[in-house]
Amino acid sequence: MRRLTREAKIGYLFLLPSIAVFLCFVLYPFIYTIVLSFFDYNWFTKKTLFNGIGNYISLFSDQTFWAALGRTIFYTIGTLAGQCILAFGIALLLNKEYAGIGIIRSIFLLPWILPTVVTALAWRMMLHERWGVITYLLELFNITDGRVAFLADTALALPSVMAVSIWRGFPLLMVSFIAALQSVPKELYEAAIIDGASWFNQLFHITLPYLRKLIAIIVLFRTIWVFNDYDLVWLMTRGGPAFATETLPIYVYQRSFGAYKFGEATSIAMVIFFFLVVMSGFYFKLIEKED
Amino acid sequence: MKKRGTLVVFILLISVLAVFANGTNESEGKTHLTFWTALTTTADQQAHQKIIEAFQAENPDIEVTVEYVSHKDWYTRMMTSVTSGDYPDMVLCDQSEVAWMYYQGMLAPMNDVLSAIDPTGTDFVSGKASIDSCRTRDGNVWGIPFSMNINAIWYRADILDDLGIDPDSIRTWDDLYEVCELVKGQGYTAMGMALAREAAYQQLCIWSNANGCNFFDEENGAYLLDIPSERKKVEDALLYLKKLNDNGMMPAGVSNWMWVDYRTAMANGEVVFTSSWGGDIGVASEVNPDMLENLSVMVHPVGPDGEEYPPYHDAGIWAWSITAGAYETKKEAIDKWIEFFFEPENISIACAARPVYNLPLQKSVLESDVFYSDPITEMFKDEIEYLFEYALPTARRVGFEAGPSIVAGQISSQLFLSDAVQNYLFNNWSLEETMEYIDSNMKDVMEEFNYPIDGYNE
Amino acid sequence: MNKVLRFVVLIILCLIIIFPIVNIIFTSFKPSEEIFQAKYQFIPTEFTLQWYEEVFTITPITGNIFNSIIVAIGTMIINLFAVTTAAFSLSRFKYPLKNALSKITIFTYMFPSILLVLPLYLIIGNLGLINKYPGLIIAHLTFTVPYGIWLLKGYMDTVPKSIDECATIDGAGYWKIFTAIIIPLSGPGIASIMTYTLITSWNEYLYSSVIMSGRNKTLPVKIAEFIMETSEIRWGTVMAAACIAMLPVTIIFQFLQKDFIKGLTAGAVKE
Repeated sequence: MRRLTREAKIGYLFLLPSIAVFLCFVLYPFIYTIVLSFFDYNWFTKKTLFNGIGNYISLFSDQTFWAALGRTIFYTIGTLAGQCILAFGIALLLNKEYAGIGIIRSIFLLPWILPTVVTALAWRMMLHERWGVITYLLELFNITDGRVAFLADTALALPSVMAVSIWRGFPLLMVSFIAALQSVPKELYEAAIIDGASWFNQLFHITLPYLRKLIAIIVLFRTIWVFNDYDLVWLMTRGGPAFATETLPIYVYQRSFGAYKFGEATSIAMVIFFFLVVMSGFYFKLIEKED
Repeated sequence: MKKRGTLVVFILLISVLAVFANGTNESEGKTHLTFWTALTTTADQQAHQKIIEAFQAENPDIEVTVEYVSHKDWYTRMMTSVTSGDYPDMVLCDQSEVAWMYYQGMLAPMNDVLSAIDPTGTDFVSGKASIDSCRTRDGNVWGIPFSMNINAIWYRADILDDLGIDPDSIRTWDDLYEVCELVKGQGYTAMGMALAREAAYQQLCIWSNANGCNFFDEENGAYLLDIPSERKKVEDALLYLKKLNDNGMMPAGVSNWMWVDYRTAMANGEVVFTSSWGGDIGVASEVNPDMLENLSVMVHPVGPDGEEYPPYHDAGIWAWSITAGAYETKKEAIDKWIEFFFEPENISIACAARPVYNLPLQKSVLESDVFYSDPITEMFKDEIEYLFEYALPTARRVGFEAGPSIVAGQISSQLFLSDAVQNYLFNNWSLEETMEYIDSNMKDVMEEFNYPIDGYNE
Repeated sequence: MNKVLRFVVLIILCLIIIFPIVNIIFTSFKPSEEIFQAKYQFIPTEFTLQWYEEVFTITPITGNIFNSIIVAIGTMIINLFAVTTAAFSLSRFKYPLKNALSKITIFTYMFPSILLVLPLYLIIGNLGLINKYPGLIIAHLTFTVPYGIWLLKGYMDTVPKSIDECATIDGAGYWKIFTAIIIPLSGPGIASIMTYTLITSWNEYLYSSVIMSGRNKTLPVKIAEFIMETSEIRWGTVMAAACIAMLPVTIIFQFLQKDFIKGLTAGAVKE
């Protein structure tokens, strides 16, 4: 083995505080999760029994789990699609310098800065079937017949939460997209402008192809967060009504802090982790190609 | 750069302020008592403050502080307080929570305090919605209820009157359904109740009760849903709730309704009936006092399998309990506080915080003028007397028939019963599927907590 | 696209996006009847401070604001130390496994809190830190530190190496280079991670909700309790509390917006 140079030693020394945080509060808990997922552990009664892969077997044969997984995928895809379209549209509009653009941009960023609890509250208020403004306007303009109880309807609850999630999450994508757009070399457009290509043609034949990979990286990164959205869904609907918004993170929470079955809950968490590994694998691959 | 500098100064300033703000005013030489309670509404908090101030004026050497812990957080908070050591001296909570703490070995028996409050042993009204739900088989009492809340059907007397319906004639579920159809025809929403994910289980228990079944045996606590005839009673309750919902008797958003929603709806005149513990009155007195004179109450109509009228009712209690460790060191101060709280004036203050919802259990209070000195309580004197006469004798809470039960607390804190109800009502689960879900989860909980499924047989 | 049209579209979008926030602010000044009336009223006909008064007197949230401040500032200070040292190390030193360490940093940043919350809760419990400030600060560090390192390393890489080489020739040690050169020159980067830490820690809900309870609740948990509290929801009070909760983050964000956006995009677009 090579002896460490003085530089390397000091380098490690500087790394020590963050490594300590990582080892104690990320890596160790993570190993703990793996171990726990093989136990039948009830936090309440302190029952601890080795269960082998029993948790996983019962998980994969559990209808509730598959339904929750399906909902999570639906939620992730829908939210991301909405966020991308909104964010890219606004990014295109904002990708020009003119007076007041800074203020407008910071207004667009506001939804992302707000505490999630405030976001949930604001929208619950607006979607309320008795005094919410959205239900009021929809009824006023005869778009709906009477007032719709969005969050109480098993078919509408998840899409409603997705809409809120789009509202909250698009700013982050928006700033990334603006940065990406600004990275497109101006020369690329020059030829097109001379040829008289329309704005849409430029967009679809120059901008998007050029940014394809970059956008993929940005979106991939977001996917992981959206997939694991816990607080917004929880604060809007608590997974109800009738499981309509019970996504995997909510399901984990229910099994652990609701039913105290930490062993079972950690096995679900491991499924989430598997997803994380797959997504980050793609991510790192793309990043390497980009470099 | 300047902006950043301003921010740093700003943050430092806040930190300094924060440190100073933290300077607690530790009082020397005083006995410090803390209690936790799940009675968290603003009115409750104000009442507690009032009683604490009066007590401290009388006992300057004792300081009482209260912490508000909602039902949702109760068990987690209790569990963690065991490890972190910030344990309360007393708690004011419902019977599920008393039972749970009893099974954790956290509580001290309260027989002595009880005999100080009620020397003759006859002051508290009898029944399962009273002290009995905190009394174990060995005769020890682990909690003393200061109030009880009882579920019944609250209704709009003015509307029934206009339609020429005598409330006393509504004796069966079919009778109630007919009236619902009638008021629906008049453009009203008939029935309000809390069916949100945290609350739906209660309605299943309530309507099963009204149909004569209560999940556990009254004498020995044996699990009953394996008996087909008992199971059918629960099934019928589910069917009835679904019938109400599918035929538009309940409001559109009912799957998200919490307690606050039906209470507000009743106060605003949006529903005709509520399945309620009387909290409607408190809300109405705040939101829409004009509505108060139109509200009245009747006992639950009986279901198709129920044998007796009036049928069983659901009732919760709010009880004082004392934690074991605290009682060893602060017995004198704690006893003083509990006895003070149970003086008729103070019970009356605590009850008046949520009039008609909080009903005292001591005859001495019920018969005193001070209890009825609260104008709203006075206004509902007839209703209160009616509830005591017709609903209280059959009132009980699921799982507590045979004394404190660890499982009962779990049934209310976990969500499986509610999920079953919601999925059956709003998500097209079949009846078999729903019952199977209920049954397997009930058995799961009983197994986790080593509850004897066949009951406590000597 | 026409410049004017573009501007008009932007303004309209802006109004739609910001509406929920304005709505909260106005609602917090509405009297009770106006909040609950079926016919929607945007601007209150009569402004009332009743809810703000209530939020500081009857159901006080001052303690919760205090908790949130302590946790946010505590997290920020520890985070600052851990992050600057680590970023310096990753940016300036050569040693084995460096590349892997950088990757782990990003990977950790991706780690969802719902995955960590279960074991972390048990571990913090074993340390006896449940319902204590350090417990929550630790939990917050798990996501602020990796992000900070990732961002700040990128920033420090842009500080020319020649500067510290000169300093080395002048006889400055590593610590001296770190404190006297790198840190001052990474000002905007550091400001950016400070903002990020303060805002996320102030806003964070999941860890706070399981770790803190009773009087130690942070502001978001307290507000959530207001909404989730099922026997009464005092919407006016909640709205007032919500306004108070969003005030500091909005202010801090305005101070540091530029650096913050730069940091964000640097993080999202390239490693």
